[in-house]
Amino acid sequence: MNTGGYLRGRRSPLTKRVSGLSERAVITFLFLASSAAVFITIAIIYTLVEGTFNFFSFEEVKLFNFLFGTGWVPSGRDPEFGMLPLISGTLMVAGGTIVIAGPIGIGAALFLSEYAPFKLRTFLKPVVELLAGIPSIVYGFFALFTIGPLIRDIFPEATYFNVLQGVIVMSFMVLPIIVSISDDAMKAVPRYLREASLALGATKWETSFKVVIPAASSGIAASILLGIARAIGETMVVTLAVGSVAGFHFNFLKEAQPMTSYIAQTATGDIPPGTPAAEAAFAVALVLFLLTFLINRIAGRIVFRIKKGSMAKREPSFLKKKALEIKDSILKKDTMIEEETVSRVIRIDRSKRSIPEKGQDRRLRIRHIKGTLGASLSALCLVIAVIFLIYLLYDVFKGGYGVISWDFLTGEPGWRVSELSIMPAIMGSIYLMLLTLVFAVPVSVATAIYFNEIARDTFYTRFIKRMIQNLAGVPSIVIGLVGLTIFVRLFDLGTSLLAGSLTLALMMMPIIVVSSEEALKAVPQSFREAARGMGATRWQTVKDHVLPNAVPGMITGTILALSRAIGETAPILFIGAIFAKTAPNGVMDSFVALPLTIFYWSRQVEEYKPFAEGTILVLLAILLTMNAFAIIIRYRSQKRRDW
Amino acid sequence: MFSFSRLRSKRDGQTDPKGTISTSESENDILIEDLNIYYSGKKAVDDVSMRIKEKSVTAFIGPSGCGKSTLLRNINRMNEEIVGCTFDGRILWMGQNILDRKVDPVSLRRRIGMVFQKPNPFPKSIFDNIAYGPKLLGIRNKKELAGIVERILKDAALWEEVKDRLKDPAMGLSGGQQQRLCIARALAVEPDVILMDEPCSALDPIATAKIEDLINELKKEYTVVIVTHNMQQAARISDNTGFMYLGKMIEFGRTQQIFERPKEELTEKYIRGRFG
Amino acid sequence: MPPVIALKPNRNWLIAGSGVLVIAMVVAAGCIGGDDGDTPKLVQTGSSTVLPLAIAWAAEYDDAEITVSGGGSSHGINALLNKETDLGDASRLMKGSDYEKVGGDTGLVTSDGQATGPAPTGVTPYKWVVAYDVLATIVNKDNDWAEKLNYTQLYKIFTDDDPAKYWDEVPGLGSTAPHEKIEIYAPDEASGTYDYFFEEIIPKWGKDDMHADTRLNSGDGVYHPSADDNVILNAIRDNKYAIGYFGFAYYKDNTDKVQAVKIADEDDNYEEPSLSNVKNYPMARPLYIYTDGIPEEGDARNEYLRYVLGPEGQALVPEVGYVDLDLVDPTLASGQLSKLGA
Ligand SMILES: Nc1ncnc2c1ncn2[C@@H]1O[C@H](COP(=O)(O)OP(=O)(O)OP(=O)(O)O)[C@@H](O)[C@H]1O
Ligand SMILES: [Mg+2]
Repeated sequence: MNTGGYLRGRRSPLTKRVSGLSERAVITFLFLASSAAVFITIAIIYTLVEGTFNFFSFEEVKLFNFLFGTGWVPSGRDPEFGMLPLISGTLMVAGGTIVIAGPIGIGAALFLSEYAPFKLRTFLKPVVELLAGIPSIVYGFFALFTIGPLIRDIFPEATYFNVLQGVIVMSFMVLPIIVSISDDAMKAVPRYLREASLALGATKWETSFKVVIPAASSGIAASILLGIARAIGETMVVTLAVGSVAGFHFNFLKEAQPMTSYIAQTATGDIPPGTPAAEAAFAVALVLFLLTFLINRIAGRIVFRIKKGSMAKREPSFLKKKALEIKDSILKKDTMIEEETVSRVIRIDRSKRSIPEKGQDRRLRIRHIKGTLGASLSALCLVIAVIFLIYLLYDVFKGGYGVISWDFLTGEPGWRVSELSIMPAIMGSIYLMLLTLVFAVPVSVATAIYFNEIARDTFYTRFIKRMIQNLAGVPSIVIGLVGLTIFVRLFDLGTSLLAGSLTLALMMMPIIVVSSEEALKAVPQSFREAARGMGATRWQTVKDHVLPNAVPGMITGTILALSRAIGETAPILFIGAIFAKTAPNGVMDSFVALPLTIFYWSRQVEEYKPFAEGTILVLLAILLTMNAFAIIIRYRSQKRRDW
Repeated sequence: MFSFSRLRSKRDGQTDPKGTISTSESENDILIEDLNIYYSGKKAVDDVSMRIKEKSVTAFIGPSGCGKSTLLRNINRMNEEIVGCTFDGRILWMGQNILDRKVDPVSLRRRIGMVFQKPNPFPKSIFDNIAYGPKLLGIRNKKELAGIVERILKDAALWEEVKDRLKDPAMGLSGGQQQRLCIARALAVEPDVILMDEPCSALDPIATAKIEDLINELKKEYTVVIVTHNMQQAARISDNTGFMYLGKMIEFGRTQQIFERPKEELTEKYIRGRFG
Repeated sequence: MPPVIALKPNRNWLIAGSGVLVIAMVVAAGCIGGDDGDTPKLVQTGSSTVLPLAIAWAAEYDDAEITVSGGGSSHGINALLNKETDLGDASRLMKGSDYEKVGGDTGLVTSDGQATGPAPTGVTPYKWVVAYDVLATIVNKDNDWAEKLNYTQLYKIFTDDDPAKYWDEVPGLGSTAPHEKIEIYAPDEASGTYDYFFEEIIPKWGKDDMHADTRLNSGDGVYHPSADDNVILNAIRDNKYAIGYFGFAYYKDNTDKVQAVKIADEDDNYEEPSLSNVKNYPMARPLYIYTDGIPEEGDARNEYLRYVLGPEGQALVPEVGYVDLDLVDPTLASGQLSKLGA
């Protein structure tokens, strides 16, 4: 037919363009990028399994002893590889942390969610989140040099390295996780439940404590689990403050060696390569990896359910529902009969009062006092967190600002304490960050675009998405081992800037994917529909209409991720150097970085301490500047936004 | 359009053979005087004055957004929980201005209970939902609590349906059962007044009928104030009806009078369903 | 309600974002291409005992850019064998087992720590003695009964072979020693000093039938290990009945806080640890840098080693807290320098 021919003729060039070569190439690229998560996962599993296999191929190593032995003496003349001391160390640290951070975190979240007026809340939440932005090396330093002496004052029997000081600072490190997820969970408790309670004559505190907290309990539990996973995976605090001698005990005033600390020790201590002591790091890392994976998985599910909102009205489980249905059907007959007679049966007689009026006034006063106390207590939790933050910053500032000078920042470093300079470390950190940017951003953004804009919801995409979530929870020291095995050894890149930044990119990728996805999701669906409706291809839609609007969000997320990267110590512990006189000027150069410098100096004689503090100040200043940038970009893009 | 007298007579014949409503004034009446309520300074309820008689059912009707819920929620000062909501005027009850800042809203709400539009049981067991209020009031004894729960559930005509699964989650009940549970929960603290904000709007006709039966029974002992969009319902169950429009109480009087001989043109229009 | 047709994409951000990425790439590329080749680069890694010395030399030496890291003697030798480093620091001699780890023949390594042939990686390590480390046994300032000790006594205190619980149980101290518990504060197993103390000193003087393990491994809780010399120092300063050991370099800066024990040499002369007495003091060990073969003249490593072994490099050694070669053997430095063509 004529018209048909006309239409077909018109359509075919269009169709051609739609599935044009470049379009398909781009989509293929996006697809490939999205598969990076698979390769990273394979790299991690390969590293850990291969290393573990090597470890168990030494004849002095026995699986049974590894799992149940109570002696961890890897470099002794008769080495022993019983993991229980490492496990007890990790248990003490994680358990202690949760005992402190759990109540404080829930209290602070309760205050934020239920009591804080809007303005105070918008001020306090970022302050708490600032705690999460401080690099763990800084926490470790603070634990050893500020909390440590306090503890030894109170408990003279406490040793120089002890579990307690690590636990205390770690509590504040995981606090933001607990506060923000618990706060989300409490905010998600529907208003009508609070109103129901208040309308029954409950005080605000009773409502918070007896309705809001129980209704948010699964979210709170998830926040605690994530806190535990974080504490288990944390390396620098335990390496600096908790110690490096494994002992099977549960004394918080003594030194212990958690799993991460041992892995770090194989990087920094004199543990000969190729010995079971060195390979043990991989076996320990595998256990660590599985443990955190499991915990994150469970917590992730709960958080996912909260986000989907099915938590708000907790449905009984499928089985329970079925049971109820059956019960109902059995009861049905009676109920049916009942229906007919309802109105005749009810006889309300208020003369049968059961609640004594006597004493209610006094009781009410007590309830009000309890409420005030409870509210104050939860406010106190927040105050404690804020005081800790201020004290930490003040303490570092007081100790460190004296050493900051032009020479210290830009001079060529000497070896004498009077000639120290962090110029090579600053440059090393900046290069490291830029290279990480180059490696992590394109892949991560492409992954986010692929999942959010191109891919349909298939088994494969769900699988990869879950994989990325899992990657985000891998402890940083495990990533360090992977970097060492894959980039330094397998790819033969040596201890170079390239190997270091690739390792950090592994770490940052999941974070940037998630923040980029959030930025894409924030672009209204109508933009896409309009563009697609006008005949734009999928990629054209993304390129012309979605991406431009999502870029500010992506930049913000990326800057925040990079500011985390620059403070990370554990992943580059195996790769970074300790001293360099000049900045690196090639990607294959060895490098020093700010967090490694802090780490090294904090283990030197006391004269180095102010220099470590000065370096912390510089690191914090860089982090703050980056965060400020991110906030400005977010603010300005939101102001300009026309939707 | 419907016939008021037909509805009314059916209802009366069933439950209230006397069909009499007390006209004497009592200290237990809720006397609202010059009440204004604002959201962030914007008036939502405009100069309302009225007398809500004790042990009777008073209904508020009016188009959506006219301020019915807002007015209702002020009677137990639930509006205080909304940021930016302010009010002036007086509500006199039991010889006190209950809007006075010296009156403790916690003890007030225990006296003036509330049932919401959407059934909102706590995510706890049926038993714990009922026992929540009595526990707050200091009853700890298990046996005593069990006694209260049984009596209250019987009052709310729910006992036979749930007596075998008191420990099951309340969320597992049907919508109508949940709403009756919420009414029971409100009764458990032994209030004098029960405020209901569209308690049946989420329910099917059978469940609605049950709740209406319950309200009819409740008014013998309690003062009931109910907001409803369902004019048949207002006609069926209420003794007095107030019609609100744009925050104003346009007309308030005996239900029969409002539905059969409204004084105001607006009321007439609304009742006849000839409203924008 | 967002506009449906009037799409106004804000391209500035896209440009800014890609701009930053491009700049980063350019900088990164500049980083790659930036090898101007003016100053040669060297990588040095290994023993944490040598580390402070290596840092001092790297800082003072101007003809090469040297990046220094630690990780232990084994790591240093291993890295050299794997061509991961130019200079491998070690506080012990290379052993056959080091060759074994890279698949080499253990027979190619002499007892003197020299290689007689290349490892499978093609590297033939060559040993340079660059300084001496002296180990100090430390007691509290108020300790007046153990100001000098011999091997038998050290053995009784530091090994798990029927160890002394109280000071008066240590043979030879007799009535001067108090009936007080001995507490040991000393480095942990991860430290090279620990290895040195137990693997070098005790077997050297031990009798053949004595096969003791360290007291740390006996698990009687007397040995408090620590990775931090500060801890050891403070603990011994505060505890009258404590004993321990660490590098002389560390003692040198803290002579006002603790006292060093005189140690009997093979002729039963009690020698005090000091820089000048190093020739006679028994607890001293050489520190090494390993290179791949003897670097030829003009090679950056050759020049660096000449600096290290020469007067300028050696002058730094005592300042860092180690013992320079001349104090031990005046021919040592010149002999090695001649191999470098100087
Ligand atoms: N929390 C609030 N904040 C601000 N304004 C509110 C709030 N709640 C109600 N309003 C406003 O107050 C006015 C009265 O609302 P109200 O809920 O009392 O109406 P209503 O008569 O109950 O309506 P409906 O029949 O739809 O429930 C409306 O204009 C509404 O928009
Ligand atoms: Mg309403």
